[in-house]
Amino acid sequence: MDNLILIVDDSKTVRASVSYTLKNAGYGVEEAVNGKDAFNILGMLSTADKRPSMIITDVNMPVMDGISLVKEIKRDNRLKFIPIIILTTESQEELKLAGKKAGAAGWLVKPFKPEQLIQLAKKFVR
Amino acid sequence: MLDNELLQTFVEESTELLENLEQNLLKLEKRPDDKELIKEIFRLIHTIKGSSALVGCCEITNFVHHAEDLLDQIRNNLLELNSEVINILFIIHDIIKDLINSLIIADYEIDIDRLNLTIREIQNCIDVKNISYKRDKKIALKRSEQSKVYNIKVEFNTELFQTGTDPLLLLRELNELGCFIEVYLAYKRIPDFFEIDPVLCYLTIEFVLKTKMPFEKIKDVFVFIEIDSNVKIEDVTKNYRENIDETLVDKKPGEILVDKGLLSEEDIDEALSREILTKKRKVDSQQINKVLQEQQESRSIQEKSTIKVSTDKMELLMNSVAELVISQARVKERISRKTLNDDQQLNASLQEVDKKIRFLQEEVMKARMVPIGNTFLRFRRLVRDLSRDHGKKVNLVIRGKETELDKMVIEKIVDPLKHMLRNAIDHGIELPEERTALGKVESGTITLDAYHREGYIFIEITDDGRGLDKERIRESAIKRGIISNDNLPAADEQIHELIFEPGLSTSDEITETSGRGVGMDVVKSNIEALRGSISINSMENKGTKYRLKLPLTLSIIDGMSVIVGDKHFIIPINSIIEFYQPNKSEIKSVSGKGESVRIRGEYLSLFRLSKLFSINNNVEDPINGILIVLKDDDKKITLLVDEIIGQQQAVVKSLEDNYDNVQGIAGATILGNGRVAMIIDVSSLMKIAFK
Amino acid sequence: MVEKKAYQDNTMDILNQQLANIAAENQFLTFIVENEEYGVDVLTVQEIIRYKKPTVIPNTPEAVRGVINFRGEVIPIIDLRKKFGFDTKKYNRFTVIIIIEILGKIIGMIVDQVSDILSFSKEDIQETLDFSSDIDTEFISGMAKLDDRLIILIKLEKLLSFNEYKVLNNIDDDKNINNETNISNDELVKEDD
Repeated sequence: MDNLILIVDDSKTVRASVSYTLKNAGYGVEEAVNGKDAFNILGMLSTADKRPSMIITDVNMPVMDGISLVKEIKRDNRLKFIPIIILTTESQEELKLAGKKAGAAGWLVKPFKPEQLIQLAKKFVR
Repeated sequence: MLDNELLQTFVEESTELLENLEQNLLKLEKRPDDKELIKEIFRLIHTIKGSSALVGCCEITNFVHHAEDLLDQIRNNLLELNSEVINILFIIHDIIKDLINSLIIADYEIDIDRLNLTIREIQNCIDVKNISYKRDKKIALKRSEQSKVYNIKVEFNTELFQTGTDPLLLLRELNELGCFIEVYLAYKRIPDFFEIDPVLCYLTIEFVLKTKMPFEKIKDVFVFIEIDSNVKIEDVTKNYRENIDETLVDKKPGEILVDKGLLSEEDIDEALSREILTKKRKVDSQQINKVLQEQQESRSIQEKSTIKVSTDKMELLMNSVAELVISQARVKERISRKTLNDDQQLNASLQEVDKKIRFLQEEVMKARMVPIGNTFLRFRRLVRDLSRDHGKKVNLVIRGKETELDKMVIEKIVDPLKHMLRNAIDHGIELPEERTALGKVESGTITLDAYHREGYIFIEITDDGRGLDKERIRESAIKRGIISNDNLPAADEQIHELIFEPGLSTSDEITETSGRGVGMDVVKSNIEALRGSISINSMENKGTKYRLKLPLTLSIIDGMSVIVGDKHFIIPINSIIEFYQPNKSEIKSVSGKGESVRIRGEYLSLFRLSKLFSINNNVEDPINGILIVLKDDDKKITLLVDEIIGQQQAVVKSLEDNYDNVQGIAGATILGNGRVAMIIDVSSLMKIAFK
Repeated sequence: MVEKKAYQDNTMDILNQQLANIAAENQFLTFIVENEEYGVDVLTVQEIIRYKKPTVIPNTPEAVRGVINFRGEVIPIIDLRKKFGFDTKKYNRFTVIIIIEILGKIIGMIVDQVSDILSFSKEDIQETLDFSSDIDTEFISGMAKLDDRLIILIKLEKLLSFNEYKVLNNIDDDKNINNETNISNDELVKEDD
């Protein structure tokens, strides 16, 4: 799909909020609850020859944190060119750099406003 | 989806997180050095803070922020986790719970004083100097009325595509801010065609943008790439009038070309002097494997595929299945016995339907079953708080966590269980000094147990406290006129049963938690409303045991259809031991004491349903009717009815929906012929019989 | 049993139809009990049905004759004659059951005869004082006058309070045996769906 966005976050509220904002702006949204779940979904989409145009992932997640997820995705040839945005909080400046180093395309600081999210989508999704 | 739904999601999620938090705090109390616990607790608080900010609940965000500060100090070993601090954590949990409740419950009052007091306590604990967090710089965006012209030169990082960034989209973003006067592509970095690596980015682009937007907005476009790409933004408004670069006038063409990056000499120099990032393997493959392995090993909660179904929906499902059973009975009713015997296929089909409905019914019932463990675990907090309040030491032992109950039944017994726990802690368990003086262990033990037996569910609450005080109960009952002096019940059991009378309380002072005497009778009626029963067993100084008996399902029962006179009754199969047709010698009648029958050497009381319910019967002599041997726990009686029709499934329709609770009757059911029949409640029937 | 179509069936059908088309304010369904005319708020009335023999509930007050199956729900049937202190009559083809819904509960009332659906303006209705000592007047919310007819308007919530009757009746258990001796041959017993 040309405008499918994948949101990976263990918080139901964050997923619902992102979904709501982006769907209203006309994007398609898939949700994953953690890194492993994200991989499952990406796998399924790939076999259907669909890939998200952007992935937004939280950094603080149990099992597999966001930075590791970024690194993992970058290792996958089918997925490595998908822009990944990491969600950080204001007290985690160092994560922005770590994210970029890992290959993330950008970041978004929580709490964010809907406009910021849409602005971000416009930056990376046609 | 409305904002309301988002709020609901937030409330649901936060409630779950809070429950987790409470459980973790209880564990932390026992193991204050557990680093993993502290990390987990921090994570929970952090998530709640984030989510609350997302949905705009600033009150919660602000408060949780303080909590986070406290936990941050703890997790960085800057603050010792003593019992005072742990207590504050518990209070924090309660306050957050309150704040969340105030979102969904109208007129909910938050204890502001407690909130402010707690914040101050937190601040006392932590060293404020230790906190350092950067606040986002709020950029004030001022729209300038004047258009400005900016020269923006971007040398995109060769690895740009690796991050999935598309320069074209950045261009578009820039274009939205204003209009391009000039755009130049410097292709100096682009190597020979055959040497081009398609995954690398060789672009250097220069824009001249005329815009009313402030500088920050332009910078924002490149916020993610400025770290590793070369971005230069210059205000060149003074150079441009009529949209033409006036500085060009003074420059030589060569210079201009060099400036614009179109000349190759310098470019080669530049290219050579620039660092080219080598592709480094930033991830150690070993680490990744380890993480993946851990993933598979951990039993993550999100792995199970579950759907949350509201209790109302389940209720609806159950009712629908129940109605299906009734309809099926009606169909059967319409078909005469002869037709059934003649038409084998019809018979077989009906049996098929029977089987399928039964299966459906069992599955729906199972879907409603939920392990009681969660409910029991919630009580830990209650027990902890109550014991603290009363200065008692209590150890809560939980058994039978996996025992499953109908979801609705669980919801309805939570309050009665809480009440009995309160009683146990308030009245049952003695103060530590008392206990030691009596030679008991200082900590009292309360045991919660749940198990299935004979088609029923039993829940027991046992304490090893002082037991019920017979004398005081008797006194109190006499005082309130519940029993009279000449009618004194002698057996311990009967005296204990008195606590279920309304208005009875043996407590001299009314404590906050119990003692008002409105307790046990309400508990009893709540249980009976679920067609269950409650019994007590108590011994002085040894302790008290409450036992709740609840039916496995509220809606459909297997029953035996019987007739007395012209009336149908249904008796639950679970309560029937056997049927017996006595002969004359086995029946004994003692005037004033009633009748009894001897079955295989054992004498059992004989009661007539016609007498118990004051209805007509057709059979007077027991030898012409049928005796049904009924049991309730360990009590047995025989019941005389005229005839037995047969076994049938009965959908229980509560009499309380439109009428009231009736002693001896568990509910009503609609028979195949459309008539209503009463379902007998064996437990209360026995009570009527023995009165 | 053979169904006898009482001539009042027509009246019943007409009334039921009217009930379905109600846009009612201050409209009352009136009925007769022991030659007195009573009225209930039409909005509470679900349906009017022919007398059906109820299933007895053991050990219940006399006024509660039992329960019937009304559209799949088990609802209690109250004999208004007994409730108001009269002797029970033989049930015949004029006897009907008015099904009402009040406070979330559905119950049926046995009355001698239904009359009509009438509208009253506020002026026609006279509120009565609460004589809490006399059980009868507990049920009355007011009186309405129409021509020379006097209609007693009933407070339906009061019909739901079975408890005071339970307490009263416990005093003398024998009197409360719910006998089935009052049904006449005219009684319509056939169950319908």
